[in-house]
Amino acid sequence: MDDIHFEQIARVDAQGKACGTTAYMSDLSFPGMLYAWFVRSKYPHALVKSVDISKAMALDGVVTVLTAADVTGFNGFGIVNPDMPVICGDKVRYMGDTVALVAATTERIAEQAAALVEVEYEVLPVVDDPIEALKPDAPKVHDKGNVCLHTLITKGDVEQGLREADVVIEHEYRTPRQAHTALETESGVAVPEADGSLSMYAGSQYAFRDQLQLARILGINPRMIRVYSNPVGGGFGGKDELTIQGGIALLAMKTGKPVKVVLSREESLVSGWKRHPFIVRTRTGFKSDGTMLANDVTCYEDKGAYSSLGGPILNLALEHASSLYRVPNTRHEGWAVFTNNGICGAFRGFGVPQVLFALESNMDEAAEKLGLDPVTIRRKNVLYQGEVSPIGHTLRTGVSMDLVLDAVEKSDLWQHREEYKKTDKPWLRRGVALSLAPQGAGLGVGIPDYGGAYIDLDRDGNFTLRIGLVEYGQGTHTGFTQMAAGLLHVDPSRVRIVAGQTEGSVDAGPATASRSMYTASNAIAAAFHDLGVKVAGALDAKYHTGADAVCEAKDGGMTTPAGFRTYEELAQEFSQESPLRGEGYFVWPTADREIPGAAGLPHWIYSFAAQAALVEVNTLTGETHLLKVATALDTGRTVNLQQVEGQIDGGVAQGEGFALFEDTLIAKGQVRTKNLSTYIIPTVQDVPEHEYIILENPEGTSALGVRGIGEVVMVPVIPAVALAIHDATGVWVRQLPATPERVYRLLHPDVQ
Amino acid sequence: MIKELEYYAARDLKEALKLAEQYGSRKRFLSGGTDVTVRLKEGLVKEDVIVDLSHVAELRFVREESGIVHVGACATHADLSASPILQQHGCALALAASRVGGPQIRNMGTVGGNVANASPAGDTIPALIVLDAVVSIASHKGIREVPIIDFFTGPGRSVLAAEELVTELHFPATGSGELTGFGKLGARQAMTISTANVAFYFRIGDNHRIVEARIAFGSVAPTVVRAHKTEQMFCQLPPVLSWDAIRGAAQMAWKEVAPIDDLRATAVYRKEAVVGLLAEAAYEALASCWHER
Repeated sequence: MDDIHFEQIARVDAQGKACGTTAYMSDLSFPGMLYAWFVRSKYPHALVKSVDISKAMALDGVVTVLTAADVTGFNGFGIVNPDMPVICGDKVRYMGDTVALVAATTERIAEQAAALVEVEYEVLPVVDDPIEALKPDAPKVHDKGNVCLHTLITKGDVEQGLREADVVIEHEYRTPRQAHTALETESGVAVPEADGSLSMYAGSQYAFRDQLQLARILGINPRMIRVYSNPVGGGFGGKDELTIQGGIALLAMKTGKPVKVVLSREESLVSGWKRHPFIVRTRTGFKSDGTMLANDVTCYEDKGAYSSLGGPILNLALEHASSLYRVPNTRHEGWAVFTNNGICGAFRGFGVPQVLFALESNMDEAAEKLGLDPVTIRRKNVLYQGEVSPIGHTLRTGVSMDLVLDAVEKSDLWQHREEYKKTDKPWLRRGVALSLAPQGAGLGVGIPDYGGAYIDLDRDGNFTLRIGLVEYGQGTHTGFTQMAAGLLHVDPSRVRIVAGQTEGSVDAGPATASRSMYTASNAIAAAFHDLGVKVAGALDAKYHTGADAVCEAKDGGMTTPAGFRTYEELAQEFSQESPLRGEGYFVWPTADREIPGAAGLPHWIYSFAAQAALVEVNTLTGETHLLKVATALDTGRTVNLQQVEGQIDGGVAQGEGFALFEDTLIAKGQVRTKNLSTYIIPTVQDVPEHEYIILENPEGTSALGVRGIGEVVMVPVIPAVALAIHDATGVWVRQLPATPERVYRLLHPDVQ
Repeated sequence: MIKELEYYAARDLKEALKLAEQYGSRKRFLSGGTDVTVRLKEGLVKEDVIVDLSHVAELRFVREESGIVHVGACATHADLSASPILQQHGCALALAASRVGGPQIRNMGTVGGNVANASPAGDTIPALIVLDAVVSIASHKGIREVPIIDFFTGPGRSVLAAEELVTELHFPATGSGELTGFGKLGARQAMTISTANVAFYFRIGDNHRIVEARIAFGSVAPTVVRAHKTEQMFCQLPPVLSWDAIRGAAQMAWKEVAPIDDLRATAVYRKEAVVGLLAEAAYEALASCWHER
């Protein structure tokens, strides 16, 4: 496949998005459409004693009001454990819980009717701290208790390792409840069809799983549900789980009318998924030469009210709690704990940023204590392919820890850091620090990780690539187009994509876990190969050219046993009734055995990045500006450099948000940061200058050598920013985000 | 929940004043709408009549006449930021306007709205105070003038009566030997409500000393406040660029503010941060005329 050349084309969706002509699912309207309103809980934790909908029903324009009794199938959803009710019948567990659903002829009437729904509550005490929630007398969020998952992974003897260490770094770290803040809030339209089936138009990260979850909620055959989920106006993990789909599906089926909802930003911030805040307690032991001896990590994950992916996120965090460093003795323990603090689920990085902030901070502190520089201590400990990981599995695929570290060390920013740190203002201090991260890609061992794709040779000789994986901004559809066009030896303009539809595209698993490009590379390559087989078969049937003949793509066509044929010629001959279709199926390679007691672990393939950050701290106010970031990233193979750089730009901004700005503040279960004037994300004025260093060490298990990069690009920048604040000022940041006041108080510990 | 409102777009000042007389406390003026529309959405607008001033072209100007700068109430923050008159004769106001929100907010929001809104965090207010601005207030009865320092009575409250409208702000044009500036602390670089802000005016005498100082702080008291004691400290500084001395003078600000805890910051932090904010902004300005010894 080395002969494939990837042209650096513009994004295939650029024109529509730049001109505003792209129709997102939330832009759609249908005749007779009604508007939904979700009646949310008044309390973060309460029993629901009664729900009276009579006044709401009486309002002119209201078509229906549903309560828990109206859920026709199973009243719950959740990717792992469906413990989140679509409509709460007996108990509410956070402020975003739904107690009733309204459908009305206008959005305004729906909202007015929602205010008329009378709910009698019995208020329960709120549990808002994961460590408090673990105590035996804590209020119980669920009947079974507050432990969503407990995982313990050990290797060697951690206490012995710590005893033998010359330096032990022991600290507690805390991380924020980051919101995805996708431009498109949770939204969509549910359309009941004449035959009793349902079409769901809602941007989400996995149409095929939505279909199954919706079938369970409605209690109907999944075949009676079609999901259209592409394109998505931003995901970042926040649209991996269901959001509003269950509610509007019930309303549509009940009323027989299309039902639409677009959540306001405020409602999204209160009711939507968030990143799990972690409390990470660490003891990390080093020999005097910097060699790691032991790492003892205990994580408390603030799960919020419902499971969703909190268990797998805890486990991925524990897999990465000692990064891919050579640590002989480890003890990684974690608790995912239910609270009334909103709901948390998948978010780019999936637990890894939380634990690497802790570990990488300990690393720099050990280096400082031992008189080593940050590169040396890391280089001494990085693992190579074939070695055993800190959780005990052998690393069989490519490991690029050393390569990204070497590359970031050679960056202009790191090489000239002393010059970058100069400032002539007496109140400003600048610092530079670096960090590196692996990020397990794919769903892990024990979870079928599957990808399919079809390549159709259409009547006109062009191609339709049918693949489930959605475009939510990553640029993957440009990548898919280029990969397919490269294999077919045609111009990318001749390939169109149908994605994110349960009918018309092929299940390729969720667009999550840095898996889209890698999965697609293999599924598309398999479909391409199959198309060649189909062409050979069609020629054989007509001309008896031999059933085993091989067709190869070349210059806009294929060399076949019947000679060279352009795709137009092949289409003219074989695609007029129905397209010649290449079908490709692929299953991710996984580890041969699971880490005992840790579902999904280990991962088989990792992404790698190292990042250096330059910050400027105003010692008078604590304001911290991220000025420059150097990113060294191993793409395996770059399909489209602009999209790779786009992922770095966006990942750095999101990492910067985690490190400096973003936190959903919740007090006693009540969200206090309900809009984007109080929930602070970086603007274009805050984002840094970039230095990109792209490495290409092909991933051997990808037909085209590619690795996923979407998550890892936001991870190392987080500890790098915190450690650069230390380099600038001497204070260690143990809690993120490092807001101006937080940094000021670290600089002036005497201030009460 | 958005409620139903009567909406009038005034074509000129006369019509605006007539509508104000007619609807009194039932009406709310809307100029750029950057505050009113947010409050409408949050259900915080108790009035049920909106009088839109954005078409009153006669109130949109920045001009200098006989040593007095006149700024129309409907001049936008973008107008102020880009005004050569202000850059020369009222720099603090141009700087303050340039730090309001982001480009979209600055294109819509107006200085009259910022003043009439009377937020303790309003960015143009400290600048207008140190420039010794006077607020021109019109009603169907006529025009009255109120020094801006006397204009505010509390958070969101001012001396404006229901039928009155801010029409312009005017202040003596600054010239050579006069330094003005503005500093802002927020949660990020742009699109942020001030956690604290500061404006200053220094007149430099022939002996290079500061002979007159005016300093005002925002977001650290129920209204924007003048800091007279701190001003005295600056007037006592030797005319030498010394970071320690300037920071020492700014330290007095600690005694002149009375902030509260809110979502953006604690009171304790605000008190500390305004000192730094003033020191930093003053040092930058004084570096243009003082030198290190």
